[in-house]
Amino acid sequence: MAREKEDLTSMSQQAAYWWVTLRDVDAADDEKREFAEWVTHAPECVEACLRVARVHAAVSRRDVRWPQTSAEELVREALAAPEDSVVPFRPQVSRRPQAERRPTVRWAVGLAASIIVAAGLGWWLTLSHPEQFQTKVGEQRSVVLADGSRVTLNTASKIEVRLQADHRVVQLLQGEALFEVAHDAQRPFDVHAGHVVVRAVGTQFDIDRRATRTVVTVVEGRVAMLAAGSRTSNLPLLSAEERVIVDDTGPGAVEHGVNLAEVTAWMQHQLVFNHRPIGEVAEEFNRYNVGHIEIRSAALRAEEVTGTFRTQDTDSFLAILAGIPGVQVAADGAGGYVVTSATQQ
Amino acid sequence: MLLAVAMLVGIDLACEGARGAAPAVYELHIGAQPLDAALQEFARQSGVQILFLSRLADGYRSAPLQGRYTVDSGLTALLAQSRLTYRWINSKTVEIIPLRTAPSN
Repeated sequence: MAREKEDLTSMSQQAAYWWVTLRDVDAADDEKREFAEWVTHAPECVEACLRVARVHAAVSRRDVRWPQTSAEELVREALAAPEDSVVPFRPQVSRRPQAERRPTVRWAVGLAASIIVAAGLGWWLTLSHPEQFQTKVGEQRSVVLADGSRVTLNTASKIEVRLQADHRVVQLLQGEALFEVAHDAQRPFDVHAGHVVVRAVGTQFDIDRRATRTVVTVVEGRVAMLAAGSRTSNLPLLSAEERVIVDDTGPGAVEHGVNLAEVTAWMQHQLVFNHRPIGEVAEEFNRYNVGHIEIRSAALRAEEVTGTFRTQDTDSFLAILAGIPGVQVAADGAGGYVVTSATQQ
Repeated sequence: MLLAVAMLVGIDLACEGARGAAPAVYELHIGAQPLDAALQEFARQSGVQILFLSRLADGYRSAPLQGRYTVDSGLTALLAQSRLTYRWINSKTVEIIPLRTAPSN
């Protein structure tokens, strides 16, 4: 890293380097110390830092212009930033013996340095404005978040991500997602899904949010569950292969020994179902396909099937249904299918 | 309505024809277990789609399957101890059915 910095010749390049380094909330202490040393080296450093920060803010507003503003004005702007974005920063450099530098100058430069970092953190928090990701029907998508966690969205799903310095918050607004959470004990990872909040530190879990219920399944590690709006968990910890179904009345009993291959089959674009009523299997296909299957026979809907299918191969599933004596499959004229049974209604 | 069924059957026959000459061979490792779980594992390892009425497989266990099999030879071996057989729905899908309702050919 030291070699990289030497190569950065111009002041603005160096300022940009520090801007990027310190935006990382996990920046090491010695990096912060090095920055303090560098920034106190000359007033031009302070000015360059503020320019970089301003350009960065401008970029995020799509208003890209190198600021011609004077250093004084930049400092004034930084000071006027919202109070909650100001975080005290004490340059370690002040503890070093530096007798030859005049105290007032050191104080002034130190203040400027703390303003820069505060402004930087403020902008960093602004940049961590919620980001949304979504998938269309039949689409799947994997997103690697800035903290290294990976979220894989299933069909017709939507999340909103807010990564903060002390907290990682994801709203599962719709659908299903598998969360592979990067370990960070200092920053809990919370997923809000309707009535429930699932909190992980470093683990893998699936949340399937439907109209009337939300299913939480742990693939690896452990998660805590909280009722939405509460700060502490009164619900049991969930371990791997455990599942809880939450509905309007609250969480149900913990189910153990869940078949994870079945729960995560969607990640391979597959539906795996064991002893599932045909009606539910049809509903599964309908999640992934625009052309919906409607089964009109209650008896047929209740019949339990076992099998493995690709999520988008509705045709093969319908072909099997059509092979059942008395069962007829017809196009509904709108891209979907109606399944009726002559023998049972 | 009947047209749609005829259409589906038509697709099936077309795929049946295309299946033709060289059936793919898979390296399978399926331990002895309840038959329904073994069939799911077979689907996972071979990539073939499988569907059956759950009650058909109740009470059966499968013999272990180790080695190189086609879908046909693998399913025949898995179902050998049961009163079940299978039929191709299309080139990538099989249905497990009771032995007595199987086509006589």
